[in-house]
Parts: sequence; C-alpha cells; structure tokens
Amino acid sequence: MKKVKIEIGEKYYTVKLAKTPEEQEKGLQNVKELPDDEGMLFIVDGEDIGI
Amino acid sequence: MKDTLIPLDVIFINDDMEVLKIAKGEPGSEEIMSQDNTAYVLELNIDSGVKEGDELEFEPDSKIKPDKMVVLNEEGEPQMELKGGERIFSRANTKILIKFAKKANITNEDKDYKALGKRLFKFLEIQDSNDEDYVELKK
Repeated sequence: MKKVKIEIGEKYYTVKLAKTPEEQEKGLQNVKELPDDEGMLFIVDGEDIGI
Repeated sequence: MKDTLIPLDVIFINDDMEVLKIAKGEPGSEEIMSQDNTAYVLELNIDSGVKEGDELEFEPDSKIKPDKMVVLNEEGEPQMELKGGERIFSRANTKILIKFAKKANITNEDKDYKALGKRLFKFLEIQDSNDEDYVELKK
C-alpha cells in the first residue's frame, strides 16, 4: 500500500493510503502495534462515510 | 472498529483539509462513527493530539524542512534569520499580493479570494521548493 507523508496538528506522520474498497474495508484490522508517527488515511469520494 | 486490536483516533476531514471531528475508536466496538462532508478519514493512535479545526497537509516526498532560513545582503552575508516557518516576500511579490487582496476585499467574491489564494500558494511553493543549500554563506 502506498505511503504518504502528512502534517497535521504540527506533527508529521507517514501514513498508508487506503483507496480501494478492499483496502478501506481492511483498514487497520489485526494491527497490534502502531507507531505514534504512523497511521492510515482513507480517501472518500465526497460521500458521507460511516466507519 | 470490530476487528481492530488497538484504540485509535478516527479523524474526519473535509475537502478544505480541515478536521471536522475526532472520534475515539475502541477495539471490538460495533459502534458506527460517521460524519457529513468527509473527504478523508485519518486513523492514528489514540490521543494523537489532533483537534477540530487542525489542517491536514500533504508533504512532497523529497521535502526537507530546513531549521532556519537566512536572508542575505548583497555581499552574501547573513542579515536576518527566519525560524519557525516564517516566510519573506519580495517587494514586487508583496505588491502583487496586496493588489489581489484589495480586490477581493472590495468585491467580496469567492473567485477573487480564490485568485489571491492561488497566487499566494504559488509564491510559497517557489520558495519552499528551493534546495536547502542553494546559496552558500561566506565564512
């Protein structure tokens, strides 16, 4: 999965980009540990989203 | 968050890159979190410190954040240091920005504010994409 660097709230993160329905469905399931400077970014097609 | 194992901040962001809401995602929870006008959802470790109204920015891969920027005089000697992300605009560019700002202020039209924003972004982008050491300091 592609990774991008982002800045938010004055901190930097390297996050995985979840674009496809499969990637988004899977999300961060089964991840046991997440470093404080990593995460996942879901791109939504302008529709209202529920998680 | 049914099958997630760790607690997360679930951050809802609109297409103006502003944080609309932060929801707490509990592992194993069946609760549905939703938000209108969402363009991005960012999941980070819980208690990330991200707040409503924070802005999301994408960083280009090759970008190196300099610790400081230095303004040089004609002899190449440091005159002034800028820290903490300050920016400086040339006199010519400042005039351009003022012109666009004044127009937008008078007409109060979205298209004029958009033009101002685009111009400002262009000036910032030129400055930020200069190489870190594109100028040598005299020892």
